[in-house]
Amino acid sequence: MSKLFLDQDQYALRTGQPLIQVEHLSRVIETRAQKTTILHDLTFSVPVHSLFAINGPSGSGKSTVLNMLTGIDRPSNGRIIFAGEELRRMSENGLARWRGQQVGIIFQFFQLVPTLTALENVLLALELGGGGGLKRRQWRERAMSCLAMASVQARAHRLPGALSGGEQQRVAIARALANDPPVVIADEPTGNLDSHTAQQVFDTLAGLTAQGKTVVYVTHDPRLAARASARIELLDGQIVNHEGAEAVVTMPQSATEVL
Amino acid sequence: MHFSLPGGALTRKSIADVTRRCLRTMLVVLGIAVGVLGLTAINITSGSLSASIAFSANRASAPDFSFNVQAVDASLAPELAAVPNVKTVQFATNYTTRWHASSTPISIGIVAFADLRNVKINTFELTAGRLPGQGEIVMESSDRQLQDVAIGDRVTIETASGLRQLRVVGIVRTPGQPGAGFLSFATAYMSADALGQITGISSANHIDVQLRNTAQVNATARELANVLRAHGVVILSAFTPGNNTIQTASDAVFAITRVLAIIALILTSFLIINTVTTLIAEQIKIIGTMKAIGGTRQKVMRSYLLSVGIYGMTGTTLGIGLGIFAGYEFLSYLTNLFTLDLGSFQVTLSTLLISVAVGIGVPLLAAMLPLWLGTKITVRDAMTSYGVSNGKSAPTRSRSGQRMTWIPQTTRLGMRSIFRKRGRAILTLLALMISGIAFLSVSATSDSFTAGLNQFVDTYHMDALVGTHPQPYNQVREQMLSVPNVARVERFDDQFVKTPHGQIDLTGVETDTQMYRYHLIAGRWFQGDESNVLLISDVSAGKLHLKVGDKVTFSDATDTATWTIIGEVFDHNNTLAGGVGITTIDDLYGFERLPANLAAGFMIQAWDASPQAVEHMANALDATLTRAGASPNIQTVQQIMASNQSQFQIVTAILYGVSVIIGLIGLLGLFNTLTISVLERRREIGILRSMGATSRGIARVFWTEGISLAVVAWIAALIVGIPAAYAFVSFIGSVLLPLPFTFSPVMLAIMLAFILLIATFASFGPTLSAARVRVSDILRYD
Repeated sequence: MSKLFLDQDQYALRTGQPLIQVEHLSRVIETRAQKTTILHDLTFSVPVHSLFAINGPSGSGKSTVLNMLTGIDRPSNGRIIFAGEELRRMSENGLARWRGQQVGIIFQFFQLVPTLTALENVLLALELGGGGGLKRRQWRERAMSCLAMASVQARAHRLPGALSGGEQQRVAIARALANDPPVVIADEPTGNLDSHTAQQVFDTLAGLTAQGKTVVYVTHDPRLAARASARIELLDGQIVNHEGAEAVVTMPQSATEVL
Repeated sequence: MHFSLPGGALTRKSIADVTRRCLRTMLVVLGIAVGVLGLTAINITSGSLSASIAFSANRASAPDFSFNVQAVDASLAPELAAVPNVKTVQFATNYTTRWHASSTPISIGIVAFADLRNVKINTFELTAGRLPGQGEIVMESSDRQLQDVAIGDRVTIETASGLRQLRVVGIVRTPGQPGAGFLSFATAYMSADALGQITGISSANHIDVQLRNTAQVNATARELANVLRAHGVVILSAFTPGNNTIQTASDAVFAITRVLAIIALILTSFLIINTVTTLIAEQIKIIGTMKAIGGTRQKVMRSYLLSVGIYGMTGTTLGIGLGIFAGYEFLSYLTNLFTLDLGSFQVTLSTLLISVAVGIGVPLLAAMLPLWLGTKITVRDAMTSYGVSNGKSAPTRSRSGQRMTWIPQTTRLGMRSIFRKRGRAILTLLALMISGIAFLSVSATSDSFTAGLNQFVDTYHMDALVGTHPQPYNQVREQMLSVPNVARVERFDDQFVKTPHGQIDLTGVETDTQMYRYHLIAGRWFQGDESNVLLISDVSAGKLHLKVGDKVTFSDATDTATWTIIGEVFDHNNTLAGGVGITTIDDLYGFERLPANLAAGFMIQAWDASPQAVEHMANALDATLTRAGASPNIQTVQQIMASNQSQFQIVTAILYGVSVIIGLIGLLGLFNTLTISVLERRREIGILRSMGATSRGIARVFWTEGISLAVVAWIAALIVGIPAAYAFVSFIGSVLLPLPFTFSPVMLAIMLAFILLIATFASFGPTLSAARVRVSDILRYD
């Protein structure tokens, strides 16, 4: 992928393919004591501009799927094709660079650098991710506009320790948007927030699709899952249900009822 | 209020990583500063001291050679000056006596000139007052190190006609002459007339000569000797300037401290490795985040290298500043000690560049490996790191656990964690070990020096050493034996001579000596009336590459001889000056062309060898010989030992200072290790807390880890420390003076206490941190 910015619409129109394709994805963890299959043969796709949810109970493999999509983890089998490029072929540094340009990641526990202000955390993303195609002197303005998009620009010069949980997560959203990635991936973005704040933060996240982003998020909250335009449901590492998305169900609903 | 700093966000993070942990930063910077300080101070001092020695010698107008004579008439001066190649001839009268300053008389040498305003060789500078006339004297400024004296005071000296008082009218300094405190010997100046009036000595007894061409010193000296002998002047000794002992000793001390500075820098490297490892352990999740949002390994490494660079620059700046100050102060101390002229104090560019390269380069190089390894972590591993390792040695631990159930589990937790991360443990152990070994080496050096002095006393089995003007031996012997407590008198004298390979102290003893207790290494002692033979000391054998059976050619300023080496003895006297060669006193005086019935040096043995009795005896000897006009210079063995001890104290003070610094660096290394341990085991701490462990119990786990590490380090230091201390003492022997390796077993216990003290102090911060960990902060899942 040589282009800095993926024009998602052009990609979809040109290829007719979903933005992210996951084919027969498996993840097995082997220790001296045992061998554990986290994901069993997942196949699904993420449409362009979708608000895509991956939900399921604890231990279903949701975060593992997310880690695969972001290149943080590597599958044991199967492949992930992101805008026509297979992630498996990239090196660690290549994946890092790719993430900086193509993916904005939002973590459950924010993962802001505690010694940098909100503004500097967003600038850090620009510095590490290549600057989003902008010149260095434009970065500050870009960072402030990302903070504004996340409705937290008034806290630009505060350290994370001086921000509330909701504000920190908004800064994390701003950071994820810094390099104008086509995809934003969030792992339980509201898992650490109270319900009121969670609603507000999720609204911000969901609004990104209107700005041309594809948002993929993991949640165990069925209400948040219901707001997705497309979703898959996981149980014990297998897809048990899907809506609005092409997916292969490997564990029928009837089987889950028996369980 | 947060202030914006210049530079990108990564740069700001690098700076914040340094400024956030003030104590750790301070200790790391201190560790770097100490290494740089030592290196800078040593380089400045050694360079400037050499220049100062040369400068002072030049200013003092040192002679190219000198004669000690029985008596010489001043009218002979023009004839001597007319000898080809002679530039300047100067006569002086040297008178050695005792200065009754306080309860203990002080040995003093008075140098008298016919015209104090016209001293051309071995010049002195009047720093206060005026030149003396009749009944007056000027004192060397360093004499005040032995006894306070000021202009207007009266000093009391012993003469043949009893005690005489002289008024101090001036203070002088003689560049290049070691201070009175260093030598335990005072110096003063008088006019020759004034000295003659109180002592009865009317003729000069010392001649200094400067040449136009020093390459022909021996030929010119022989010609001058012929002139003197032709006029019936008895030459007692003739000598050219030998090894510069100050330069030799200083070079040795600097070599030793350079080695210690390098050890300190190596430990600083360990410290940096430990600190960087701690930093990475603390920031593992941040590293994961940076990689997750687009940071490559190289970018992440660069940000931490910048932090290390900040440590290095700060430490280097501090170290260079302090090093220049320390170098100047040390240089001032040495130049004061040896009455040297410092000239203009300069710090060379090369000194600064070396310090900068070391102070910044060493930390950066040391940080590369832990950074490379630490940033290798994948995003997944970084984001999911809880702390407890996956226990590759679990089977071993569970087996040992079954056997050791009698030990409290919290104690076992601390003990089993020592080698949880082998690499880090080894590094910490090395740092602690080196701290202990440094301490052991320094104390062994001190003990070895004392043992060396005891060996000297064992070899030179005397209670006092007496030097006089040449006296008829039988007469002066009777005079000395008449003094209470004098049991035995033997002739004993020495003169420095030059061989093709270096200088040697040719020492004469009685053939049937009872006091020089020789320890033969090879060959034999003197037999019968053999002459033109000598034994060499082991030191001389090594330095001059000589062995039994060799013929050695040596010379003083006027004469040359070739003698056969018949034996080698164990003798470490005058090591800095090249070692000793033992010959018969008759042969020595024969070489010096001293009339056979005369003698000028003696060893004295007392009936009662207690220090007080020997002191009384020495005073009585002094009085007796002074009244006899012998101009004695007497030193008791206690005075000789005390003088040597005080001179070596400079070395031991430096060594102990550096060992304390090395200990501090070891302390910081352990502090970092325990800090990481707390960080990595936060989940374990949370679990212990949830099971009811108190803060004290948690603290005990980590205190036990620290102490266990210290004990393991001590055991390792025991095994390695004694050979290492031996190597260090041997190294001192090779550069300064050979010492018999000695150490006290008590030092091993003190070393343990030293290491445990370091461990306790180092454990304090981390154990406090561990004790404050809250369960709720730990036991939630990411």
